[in-house]
Amino acid sequence: MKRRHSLVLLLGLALAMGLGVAGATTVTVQIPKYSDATKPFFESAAKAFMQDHPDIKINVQETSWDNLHQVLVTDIAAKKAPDISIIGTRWLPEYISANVAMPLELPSSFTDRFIPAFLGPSSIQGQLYGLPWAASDRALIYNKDLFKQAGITDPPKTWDELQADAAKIAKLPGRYGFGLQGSQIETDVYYYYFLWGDGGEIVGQDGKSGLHSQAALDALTYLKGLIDAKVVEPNVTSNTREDLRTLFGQGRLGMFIYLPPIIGWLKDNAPNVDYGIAPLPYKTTPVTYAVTDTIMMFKPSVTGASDQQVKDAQAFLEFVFSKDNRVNYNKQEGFLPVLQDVAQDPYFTGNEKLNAFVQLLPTAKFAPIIPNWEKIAQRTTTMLQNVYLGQEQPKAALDSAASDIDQILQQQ
Amino acid sequence: MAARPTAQTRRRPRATAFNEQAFAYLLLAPAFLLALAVVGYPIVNTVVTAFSKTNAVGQLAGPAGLGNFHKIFTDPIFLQALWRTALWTLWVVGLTTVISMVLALILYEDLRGRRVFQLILLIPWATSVTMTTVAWMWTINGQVGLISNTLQVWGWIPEPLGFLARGPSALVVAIAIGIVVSIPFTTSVLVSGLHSIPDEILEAGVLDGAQGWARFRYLIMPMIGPFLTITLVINLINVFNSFPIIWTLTQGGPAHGTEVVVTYLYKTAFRFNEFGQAAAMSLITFIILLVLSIAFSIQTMRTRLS
Repeated sequence: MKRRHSLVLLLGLALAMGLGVAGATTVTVQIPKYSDATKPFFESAAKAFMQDHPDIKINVQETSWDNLHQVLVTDIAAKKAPDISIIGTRWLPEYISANVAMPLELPSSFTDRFIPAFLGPSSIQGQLYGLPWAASDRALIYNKDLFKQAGITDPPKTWDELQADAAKIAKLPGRYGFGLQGSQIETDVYYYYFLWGDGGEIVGQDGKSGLHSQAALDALTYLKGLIDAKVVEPNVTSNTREDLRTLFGQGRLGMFIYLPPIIGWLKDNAPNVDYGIAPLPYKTTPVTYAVTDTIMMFKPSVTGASDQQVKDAQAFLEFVFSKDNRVNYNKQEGFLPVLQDVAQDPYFTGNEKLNAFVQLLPTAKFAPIIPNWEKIAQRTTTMLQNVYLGQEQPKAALDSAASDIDQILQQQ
Repeated sequence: MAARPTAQTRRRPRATAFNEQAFAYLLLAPAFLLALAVVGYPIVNTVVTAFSKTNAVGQLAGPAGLGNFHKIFTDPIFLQALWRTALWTLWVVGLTTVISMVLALILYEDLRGRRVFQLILLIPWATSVTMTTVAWMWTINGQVGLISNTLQVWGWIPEPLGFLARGPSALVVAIAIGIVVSIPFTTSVLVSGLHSIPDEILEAGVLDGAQGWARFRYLIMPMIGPFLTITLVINLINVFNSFPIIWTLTQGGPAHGTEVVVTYLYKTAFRFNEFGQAAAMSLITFIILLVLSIAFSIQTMRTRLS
């Protein structure tokens, strides 16, 4: 009797616990840190969402951009992947090929709100695998005071003008004309601005490395010429993108190339620098580089999610793209709008500096979505550093890098 | 007949001792098994991965034979990194040992404020290596760093110094920081070693005329030999496997100019998604360090026996 009694009790308890689990699902969201505003944004969005959906718990995890790839790979291997994650769009092909990225089935009333170009990078063979998160493009940031002192009226439009203007500014004591990045992440991208500006491509139509082209050689010879003419900052190979930003903030750099968050950064850290935003100087083809990070969902096979959890995760994904949430987010982080209704918001239409970046979008190029992107980036960066340091000649360096990259492209 | 009780009394404690020993092993077993699992699992996992193909997210995708090893040993960047790791380890460990020995001898003398110096020596030990590296990085930064700016203000150099712009000079900076962070531990162990030498021996040595170099070479060195070996082995393993200094300074750049095995291993795994090759690299470093450690242990045992 007694035993049966306790058995029933046990069963009841198990049932109650089962119901408890079914009643409240937990959705894990992995985010990288863009700025101090990133986590508070997601936490307040999660709080608002949980108030409307008391049966769903949103768990926000933050890590640094440097660590994000490693964190995700480790979590996927352990089958503990987050339900939703922001990722570098270049990782998406890997996740699709490893069969861990969830194809998104979203109502067209939702997807139609996006600026179409920004949905491109996360659509692969017609299937949407993610949504654009932080969108940005690149522009020439120039110091108006230094331009005045050097007797320059307008920002340079062509390569020749860029070199001539940089030379004028470099003549001022303790000032550098143009900032050339030569260290760490996106060293290769700084070169692509010029490769594209001469009509070149990272991967050609034939599926081979674009470094074989004449444009690649012209762009590299041009940049090496800037170093030799001493119109860029000294010790190029020790300067990261953020080092250039520091120099610009100190008023010691005439021009450099950066992304929209520069507006907020200068306002906070160097309010006295009077600066302008202009298109990238080019040779034959006006261009800017556009980047969107991607917010995506992992498949239940690596998250262990129930059907309900998947639905809840998708509901939260749609929620963070509500107009109010996105206006707030863009204001706080300084990125470009990815939604058409957000772009119409007076905050963006009335913001002259941010608008300068938006104006460049029609000429935007995205990085090609190819596996092994990081290997190509590393090989290109090494090639550039060897040339910048004078350890290799541009032609020889490009030939050897191009043949290596051809091999990397074939590896897939 | 008289011997029997003795034998009995002798046997009994032996049996008890055996039981006690067995019981002790039994008590130790869980901890031992746990340690074996904690140490063994990663090793087994690394070995399996090193001989497997892997996909983009590190899952195993069939056997690869020696494919991963073939790839890394035909990769010039890995071979250079291996050679550079040897240089980096030898310079850091060698100079650390020499400097620490000198410091230890100074601290062993009856100086005024010796305890204060010892305390100061310990402070960098308590600071994280990454923090120390970041502090030095700012000091040597070409544009805003203390050293470059001071020299420019004094007019000694026309242009900012770019220590980190070139591989060789960046490696020298890394080695210098490596030495700075290794000195506290090494010196502390050596000072303890010096204190373990009985005063009588040194006093007897003085009476026999052993002073200066002779005292160091023939009295002190042999006595602190085991301590020296410990610092050498631990430093060797630590420096060989050291990631934060070089990663913080240059991430192995420019143009792989400061690439060592661990930084390249990290990139291979977490940037290039070649987990099989990364596992092969870590297996190679594991074997190198294992061989070195065993060689050192044998050497130490031999010295002790003789």
